[in-house]
Amino acid sequence: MQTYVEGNALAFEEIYRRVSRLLFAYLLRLTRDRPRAEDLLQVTFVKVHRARSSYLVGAPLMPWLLAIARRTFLDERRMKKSRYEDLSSDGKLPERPAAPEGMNDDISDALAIALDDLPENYREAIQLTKITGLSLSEAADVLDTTPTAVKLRVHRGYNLMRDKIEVLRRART
Amino acid sequence: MTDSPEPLHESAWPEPAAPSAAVSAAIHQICAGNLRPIKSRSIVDRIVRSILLSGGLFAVLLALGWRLHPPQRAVAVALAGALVWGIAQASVIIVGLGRVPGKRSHRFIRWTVVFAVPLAFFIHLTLASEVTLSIQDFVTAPRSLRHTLVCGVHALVFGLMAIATLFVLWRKTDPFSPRLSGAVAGLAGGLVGAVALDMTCPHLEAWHLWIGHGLTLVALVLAGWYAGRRWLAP
Repeated sequence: MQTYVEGNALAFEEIYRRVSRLLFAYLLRLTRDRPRAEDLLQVTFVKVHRARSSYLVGAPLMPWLLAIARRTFLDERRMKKSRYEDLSSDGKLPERPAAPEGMNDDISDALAIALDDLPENYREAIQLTKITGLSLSEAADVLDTTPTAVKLRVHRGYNLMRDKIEVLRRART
Repeated sequence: MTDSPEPLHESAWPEPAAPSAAVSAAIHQICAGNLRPIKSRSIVDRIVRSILLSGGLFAVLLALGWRLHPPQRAVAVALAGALVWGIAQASVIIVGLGRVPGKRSHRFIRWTVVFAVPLAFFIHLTLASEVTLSIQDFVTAPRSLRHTLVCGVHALVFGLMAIATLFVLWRKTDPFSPRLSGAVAGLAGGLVGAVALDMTCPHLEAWHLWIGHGLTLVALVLAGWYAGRRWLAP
């Protein structure tokens, strides 16, 4: 990050290569809408670019970027006052979006569906700790809460996911 | 919470999807095209500047105030009081703002600072007061109300000047809890105005001190809380 601040474009390439997928996956999980997640990803990187001189040396990069992405999402949601399940132009509820790439086996598919069905705070906690790979204290910083609260959300989210996966398994058999 | 093995820990979590090539290209265009070097300040640099600037403003206000109203108590006592509150203000900056975000969690300590320091200031004001009018006498006496209003406005203006310098120095540094950082900056800046005024104001009636000096500090903490999201988050 320091090299990027000093004006090295290659450093940005490296940062982007390392974090773009994780940031995009996080935003996709929050929005459940690919075009919207891509818009938010662009806004997030623009903010990162503008705030690069304010990055405090020594701060872990991934939580810093995720916190900016989360604020971007919350700001956008507050501004639009939109809901997740907007009605489409014909007045019907939209279809569930197609499974993202790399989700072609049954277990992964069931996990993705169960994760998408969780309440937002549980979904975010699991996404940050299990998929993005943050520690509990880093995830707590991003979510502006305590590590204990994150642990509890992950635990409760797991319970709900387990029930959902069981239902899916029964439906398939 | 349970310590039993969690089968979902071992699950094959979905691979993160990649953004489209067009989006990646657009981001690269914005962030890497025509990239210029920028100077970034270290956290120590920001702390030192914050303390020097707010301390300098505090000293100027104190000197100006004492020229108008020489201290009623011994100068040494007044200076000791100023020093104690100066140390408190520097501590608020170091503990409340001087942390690398995301590295350690000082959430509880920062919240404690935001509540404990104004409380300590109110206790100080109560101990410093020499007379307590009944609320009716205070409200009906036009001179004390006017004096309180003048003090309140001065404390707000001086505090806002200090807050502005802190907000500029710490601008866009905290995406994690910008409101809390804003409240800390509001407290640190508010202390400059409130304490400088407290050291120079000759009026030692309790209601005057609580409203004119103390409430302005609380107002500035709240102002910092609201402004923090806009100014301190990237």
